[in-house]
Amino acid sequence: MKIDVLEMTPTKAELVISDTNPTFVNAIRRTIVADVPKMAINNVEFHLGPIMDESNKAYESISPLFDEIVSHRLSLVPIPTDLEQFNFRSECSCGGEGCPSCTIMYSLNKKGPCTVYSGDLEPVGSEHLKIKDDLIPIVKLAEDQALLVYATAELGRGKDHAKWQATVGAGYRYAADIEIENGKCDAGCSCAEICPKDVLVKDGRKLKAEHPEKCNLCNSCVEMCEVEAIKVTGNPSKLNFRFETDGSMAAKDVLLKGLSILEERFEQLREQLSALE
Amino acid sequence: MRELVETYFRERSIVNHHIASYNDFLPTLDHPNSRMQKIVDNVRASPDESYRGVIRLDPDRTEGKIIEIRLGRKRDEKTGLVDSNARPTISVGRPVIKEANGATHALYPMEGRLRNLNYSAPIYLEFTVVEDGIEREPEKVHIGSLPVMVKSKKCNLHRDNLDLDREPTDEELEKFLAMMGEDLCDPGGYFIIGGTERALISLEDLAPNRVMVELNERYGTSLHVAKVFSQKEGYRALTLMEKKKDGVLVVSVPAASGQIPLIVLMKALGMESDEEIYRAIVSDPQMANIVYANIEECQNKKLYPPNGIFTTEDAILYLERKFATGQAKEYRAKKVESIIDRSLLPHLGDTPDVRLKKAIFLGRVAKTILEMELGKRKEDDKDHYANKRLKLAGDLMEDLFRVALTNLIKDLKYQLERGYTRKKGLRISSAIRPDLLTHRLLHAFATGNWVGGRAGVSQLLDRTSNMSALSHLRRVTSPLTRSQPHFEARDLHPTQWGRLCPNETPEGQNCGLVKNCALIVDVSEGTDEKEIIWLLRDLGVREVSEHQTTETRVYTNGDLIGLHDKPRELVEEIRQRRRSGLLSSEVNIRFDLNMNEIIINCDEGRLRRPLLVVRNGSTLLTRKHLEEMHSAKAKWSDLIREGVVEWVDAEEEEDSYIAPMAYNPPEECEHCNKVLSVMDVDWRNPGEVGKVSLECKSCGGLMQTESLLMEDHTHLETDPMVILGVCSAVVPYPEHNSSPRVTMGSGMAKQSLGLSSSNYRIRPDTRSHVLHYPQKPLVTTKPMEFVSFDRRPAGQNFVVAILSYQGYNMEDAVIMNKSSVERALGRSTFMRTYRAEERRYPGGQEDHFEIPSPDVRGARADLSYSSLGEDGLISPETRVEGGDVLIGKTSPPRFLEEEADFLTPQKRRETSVTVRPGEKGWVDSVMLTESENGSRLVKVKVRDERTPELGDKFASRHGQKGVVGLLVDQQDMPFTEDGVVPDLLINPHAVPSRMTVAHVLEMIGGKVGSMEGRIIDGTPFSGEREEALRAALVENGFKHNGKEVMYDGITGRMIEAEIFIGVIYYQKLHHMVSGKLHVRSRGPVQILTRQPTEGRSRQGGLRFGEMERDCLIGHGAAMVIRDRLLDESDGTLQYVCGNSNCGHIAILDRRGSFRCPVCGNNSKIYQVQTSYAFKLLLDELLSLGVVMRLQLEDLK
Repeated sequence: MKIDVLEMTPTKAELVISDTNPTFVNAIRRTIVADVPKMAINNVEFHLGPIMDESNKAYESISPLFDEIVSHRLSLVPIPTDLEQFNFRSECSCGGEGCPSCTIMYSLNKKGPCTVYSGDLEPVGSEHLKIKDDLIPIVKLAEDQALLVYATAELGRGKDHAKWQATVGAGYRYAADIEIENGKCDAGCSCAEICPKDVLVKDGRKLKAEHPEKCNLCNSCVEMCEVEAIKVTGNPSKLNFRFETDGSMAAKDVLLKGLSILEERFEQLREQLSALE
Repeated sequence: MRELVETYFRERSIVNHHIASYNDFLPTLDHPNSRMQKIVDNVRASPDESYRGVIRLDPDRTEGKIIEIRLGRKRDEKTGLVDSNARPTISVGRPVIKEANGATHALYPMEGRLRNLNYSAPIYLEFTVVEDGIEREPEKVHIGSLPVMVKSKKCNLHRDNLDLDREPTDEELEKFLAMMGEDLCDPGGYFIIGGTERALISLEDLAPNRVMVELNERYGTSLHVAKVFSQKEGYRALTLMEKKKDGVLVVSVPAASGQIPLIVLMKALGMESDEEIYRAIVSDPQMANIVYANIEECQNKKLYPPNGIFTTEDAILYLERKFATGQAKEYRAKKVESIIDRSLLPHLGDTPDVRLKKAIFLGRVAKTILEMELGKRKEDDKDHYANKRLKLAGDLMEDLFRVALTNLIKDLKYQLERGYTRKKGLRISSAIRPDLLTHRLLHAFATGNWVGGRAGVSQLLDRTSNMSALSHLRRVTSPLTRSQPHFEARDLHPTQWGRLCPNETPEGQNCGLVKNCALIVDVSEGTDEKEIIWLLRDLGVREVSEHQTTETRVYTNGDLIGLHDKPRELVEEIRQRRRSGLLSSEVNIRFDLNMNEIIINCDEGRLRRPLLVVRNGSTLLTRKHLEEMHSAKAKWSDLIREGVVEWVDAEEEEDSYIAPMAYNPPEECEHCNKVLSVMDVDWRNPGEVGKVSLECKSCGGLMQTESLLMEDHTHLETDPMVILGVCSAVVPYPEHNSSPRVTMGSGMAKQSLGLSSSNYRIRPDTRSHVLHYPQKPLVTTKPMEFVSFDRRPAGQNFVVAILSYQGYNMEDAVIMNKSSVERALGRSTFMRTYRAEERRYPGGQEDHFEIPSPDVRGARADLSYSSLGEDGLISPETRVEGGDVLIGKTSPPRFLEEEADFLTPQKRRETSVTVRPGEKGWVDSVMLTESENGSRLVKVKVRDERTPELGDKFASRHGQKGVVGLLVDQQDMPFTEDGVVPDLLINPHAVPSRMTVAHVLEMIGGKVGSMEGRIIDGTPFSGEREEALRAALVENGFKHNGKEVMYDGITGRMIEAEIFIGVIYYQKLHHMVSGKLHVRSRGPVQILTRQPTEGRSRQGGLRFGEMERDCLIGHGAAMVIRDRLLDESDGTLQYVCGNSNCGHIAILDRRGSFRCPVCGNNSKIYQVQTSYAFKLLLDELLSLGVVMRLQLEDLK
């Protein structure tokens, strides 16, 4: 197996994996989407009744949005996640009561008129847990409205709820094998025009597949070519795999965690199999 | 031309027709001759009185004094006419509320909605008492309250009623509306009655006062019949004339049974001379014989003894004998008088001096029949829109108010006469009963039962979404019964083009009978026809002396006015006058070449549509107009005034040659090769003859193309999209769809959830929905702007792939991405408002909001009241479920005499309000206020979040509906190379047979829109071209046909077929599983029969009916039948008296001993199992005096 890393930024990764098969890469894709844990707000407590400010002015604890919408919006805010630092709440030594090693508490206190942003979530405790993507609008408060909530984030998995999905836009494509039969090609090159990815280029009197790595097997050129001079086939042993993260974790960490989860599973399988003998 | 449509909507709102019609009804300072005033001017205490607008008291009851009370405006002594500009006597205030403590203050709609009030304003009427000829000072008296249409001139939200000393700016108005708790996009046009919003549905009716001929196929022979629906001031009468088999023309008059020979009737009306009769009928020598025969028939002594009918006296005598045989002479005379004056053709008048006019009219009717028989005239088309009139809110109010006012005046007259004493004099304010009028009006509004026996006129405004509300306000219903077929009436008629939407109609029994207005329509308000008649006389129309003529007959509003010899010139002259503003734009004229008739209409209720005027092959619209429209300076009313655009009714349209468009834009721009749609070019030279010069909007290059306007065109269509109604117009590219799918699409737009109003948090609607993340569609249409769909959307843009997925989207099911759902795709909130009032009962007792104490009858366990506050009310944000108490309430005992024990006070009843069974949610708000009669009123709103689940219904805008069949985890869904996972999977079989090409097109459009970050224009008939969208796909790296390579999310392998994937607007429809799901194991039973209750709302069972029972009999499954029909239904154990001559039902008394209450037997009592329904039958028969004795025997 050969891996070429085309891009690896904190939020985005693109790899070309050769000598593999789609099943394998799909396992990674599924794991990073559904199994890699991340922190997300799971519990929001709203203060009901009047909210006082310093000058003893009373605000109504109401907003244009219903509380469940506000909490749902909060739950989708990406929380910076360091997987080393947190345990699953149910598996934590605190027995699920909630402690700094399994939960993050945030408080949010804002008085209208204003827009409440994700950055207004104040972590109780360490400052590095502050929301990085701090301009996600949560709700717009009108005059005399206020929002006072305590939100608890905990670790979860994408298969349980989409808010615990660290990965977005994970997909891959087969590499393309483009064969141009120069004998048949009449160099009309309407195929080059229709190609949405500009794979084919007219090179003098000849058609050339200049960027075969860009081809997504859409077959436009094959359908376009009346003389059947082009043949495009997908190569399932070479895949271009890419994904992004929502910003709560680095793409590399997500991938590594995904692999370790897979590894763990196979390890368990191996152990159980060896126990059979 | 979209500019025109924009210009129109800049000036008029989408419900302008209702508001304008209601404003015409209201008396305001700038509108002295309002319909309300006209009603007052013409009011009569009883139909036999000849004087109008005046009450004359009976001198016998007023000690001989002659007392007249004038309510209407003063009439001219000579002509008896009212000066239409005289000061009105009736006036309407602004909506106010009179509290129980007597205080009054201005009422705004939101307070009305919240407090279950009526949004109504006081009506004042000036009474002028004339006592023995001496006129007293007028007295202004409050006569009742008038429901006020929201946003009408009298509405407190109207721009003019802001109590500023100047015209408020738009921002000020918006700020004010927001302060009053209103939605800025609310169109108004409805009423608020008892806190509920009620819309008046426009009625479509046959045009009154016209002669309509038709062929009745009866018993194999065809009968020629002419009908006249007379209508005047709410009084309707149908006069029918037919030619019998023997050639006799007979007339049927309402209130007179049987038929009257035409000639007799004409003679009775004073047309004595046979020659005159002949002239009044015959228009063709071929008819002469029939008329002669008819005249001679009347002279038959045997048929009309003693001498035949020659004179008016003869005829009247004949009628007297026919309709009032054996009565006293005066009575007979009166009866005949009432028939010929009031029942016959009342639209011509109800006094003896119009009798000759009626005779002439009858002659004309006969002429029409004979003409049809001779084949010179065709049967009138009843479904032609020229023969239809619409009754809008103002017209309906007029009918209702007239009846209510007549009642009030009748009562006032009675009260005045009864209570009159010379000493006290007349006190109108104390004799009048304003409640009489108010209740009459409110009752009609609250029940929808209008005067004239029409039901369903006022309906609860549909607030499911903004579109449904707008569509509801533009609805037109036909009075035809829905049970009969009426195929012709349901068919789309060519004259409905541009007036009524061809697609927006319900499916099923109301199809084609309930219609909706097209985007731009105008309902005529009517002008005075006298002006036109004067004008016609000036233009050389001369009186009709006889019908045998080659000259053109001129009709106004169905009345024959005269003859003219140069019809073309006359029509042209009148049109020119109208276009230049010399004549009201309400007037429409048509020259019917076949019949050689000129038909002029200026009555109310004609549904008209705008057309651009074309003369000599060019429009009157010029480049200057277009530019003014672009810069939003042009005004629609100016265009009408200048005669550039005119309103054309269905009659005039028959005489027009209308070009659908002025030019076809070239396929591609000559300069930049862009694929051109109608919207991509700008017309540089409208108003010029010859080639059309076009400017490409993207490159600015000029092109020439052929003009489609010919020399003989009279008009040009404004914009093709205006033929559609509001709901069909939000379907993008409807011209690419099969028609039934557009109908279904517009039907479903009304069921879609969205942001129905921005004030949803304070509105106290009984049921309402709000979609959490409503989106503006990526593929929009122009009309969406005018119906504020972009600000009150109802749906979301879904990424949709067309493929099957393990078969879970078979038969119109859809598969949804579970993760998308978790990200709040298609999530909505359902809100239900529960209400309770502390009612007062006669005897001083009242309801109480409180936590019922345990000694209250029917009190629940303490736990049930645990979430209530001390005041008996629940607090907001409490989680509640079916059966939980929201409002603790106790009521006084139902029957005061129930318990004879005077020492202990009677127990109060528990009447708490609980959450409906099966529903749940959070308490959203609790409103405590006071109702109109001063008792406390509480409304509790409970909201429930509804995430899409299996069985919820979703639909695109193309009639492609489906229910969720499976929610799939994101990782299992197919994905593209970019990692795009569809939100929704629909089955490929959903498309081909339904031919919803626009659905496919919208998916491509949505894909382009989401890639380029722009809105795609999918306006009907002028949207972005398919070729352009396909090219844009390629530019953005997609295959030109929208298909993509996808990979199976489970196996990871590439899916062999290319999958069509795109972005399309989907709507969540309000049919959700959580509102329908229903199970029952044990549950409530009916008291009477002890059988399980019926219906979901009563936790009922599902009926095990006859056919189901038959099935079990067929199977021989006796025990199952016993189980279903007896044990699980109303099986009961009864004790039966075994006494063979008694056989009644016995009882087990309190001491535990058996006894037959009939024969007293207490030893031979047996237990029998039977259904309770059988026991009930025994009892019911007993009550009829029939004894059914049960004879018991041992089983063998």
